[in-house]
Amino acid sequence: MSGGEDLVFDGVGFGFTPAQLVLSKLDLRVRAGQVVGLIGLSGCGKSTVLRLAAGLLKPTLGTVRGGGRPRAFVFQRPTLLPWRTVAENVALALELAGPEGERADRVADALGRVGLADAADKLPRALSGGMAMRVSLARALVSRPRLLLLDEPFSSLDAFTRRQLQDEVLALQQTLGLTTLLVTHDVDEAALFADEVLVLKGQPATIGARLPIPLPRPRAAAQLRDPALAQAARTIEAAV
Amino acid sequence: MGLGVWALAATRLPEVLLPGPDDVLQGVIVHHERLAAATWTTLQASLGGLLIAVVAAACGATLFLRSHWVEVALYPYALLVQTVPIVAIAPLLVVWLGYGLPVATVTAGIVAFFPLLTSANLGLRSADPAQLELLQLYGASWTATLVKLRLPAALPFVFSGLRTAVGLAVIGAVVGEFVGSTGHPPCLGYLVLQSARSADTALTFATIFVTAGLALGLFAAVRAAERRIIGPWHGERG
Repeated sequence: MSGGEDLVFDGVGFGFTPAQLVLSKLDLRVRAGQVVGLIGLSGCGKSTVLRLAAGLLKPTLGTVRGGGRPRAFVFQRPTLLPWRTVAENVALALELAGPEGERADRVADALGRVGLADAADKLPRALSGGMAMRVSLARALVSRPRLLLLDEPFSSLDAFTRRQLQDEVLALQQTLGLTTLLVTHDVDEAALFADEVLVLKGQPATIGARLPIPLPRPRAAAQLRDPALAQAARTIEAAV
Repeated sequence: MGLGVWALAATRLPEVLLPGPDDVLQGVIVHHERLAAATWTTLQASLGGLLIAVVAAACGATLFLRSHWVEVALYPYALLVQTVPIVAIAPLLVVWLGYGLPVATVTAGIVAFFPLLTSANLGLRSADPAQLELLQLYGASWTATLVKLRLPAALPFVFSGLRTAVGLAVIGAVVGEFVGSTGHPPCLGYLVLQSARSADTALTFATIFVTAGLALGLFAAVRAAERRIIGPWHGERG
């Protein structure tokens, strides 16, 4: 599966009114198959950018185009429906817009990719935090997205589970070639995942710095101790 | 201990004022067929009224969710239904509906309606905003979001409202029977009045206890349904 088309923000501004913008003059491009990291201080508007990319919000100024469909969003919390089993949660996207005939196979495939094939009949309350995030990831993948939007998906996990899931998401992104926009407040994570990191800052917020991360792929969480990655992380931190 | 206090007090007072527990039990045994028939009628009125209240509350809450202006326009009337004393409305219902089961059914529905409307209204708005965004991302229609997200999310609130409403439905049915029953078919409200007027206080007490038992039985049924339907995914883990 390839990423599809570039995601382009062209002079995007967002706010309750054109005179009260929280985001301004946002120009960014996520090329097909590329991972772009978006980092900034809490409350600067990173999640708003992601929601604009997802089409959940409409820009007040400028345009958001491309990125392809379907789009998948992984929230900060798993956001599973507690009355549905794991398999039913994963199938939700296909129930609303997907081929009925392939549903069971695609759900099984998505659960298999995240290592939860045996948990299909469990309810969310029986899952650990890491398992629930995996289900959230499977739900994102089942629709075979062109664009993957990640809103700090590892922030609520313990360090060990976070490293495991980072590796899994890296492997999936690299295997499937997903166009990805990742929001994070973790500079190490940004350096690990991204081909380019954009620093969001100011009021109203805009892109304050664009930092290419020319580290070779494939990457893995074990590289977090790598001097080159650590240097990239320090560069990002200095720019925030 | 309560029974002991009651039995002791009954020995100090005339039986017409306070029959003892054994007199009340005797009343239940002697009049068990009348009580059973009366309970069946009141149960029908309570359940019929509850059904009307559930449907009306569900429709109301859904309309309120769909349109803020509908909510603003109709909510005062819903509040009026709650605040006007049912004992004042019941005679009017007799004028409109005549004597019999329909009056008790309607009074049961009126009394049960508001807590159900409130709980359904809260429940339909209780969906996690992130879950709403998820369905929006998938392009879900308003109806699909209602069916797949809002209604299941509302169930804990609805059951909470139902637990209150079942007892109120029984009260409403009995009040309706006070005013709108001729005794045929026999019903608990009429039996309370009739036995009190004829100074058969033991039967009055027996009827009151049976009425309370009816309400408790319905409450238990709602709790059992709640545990079955939402227990696996809601509330304290077993």
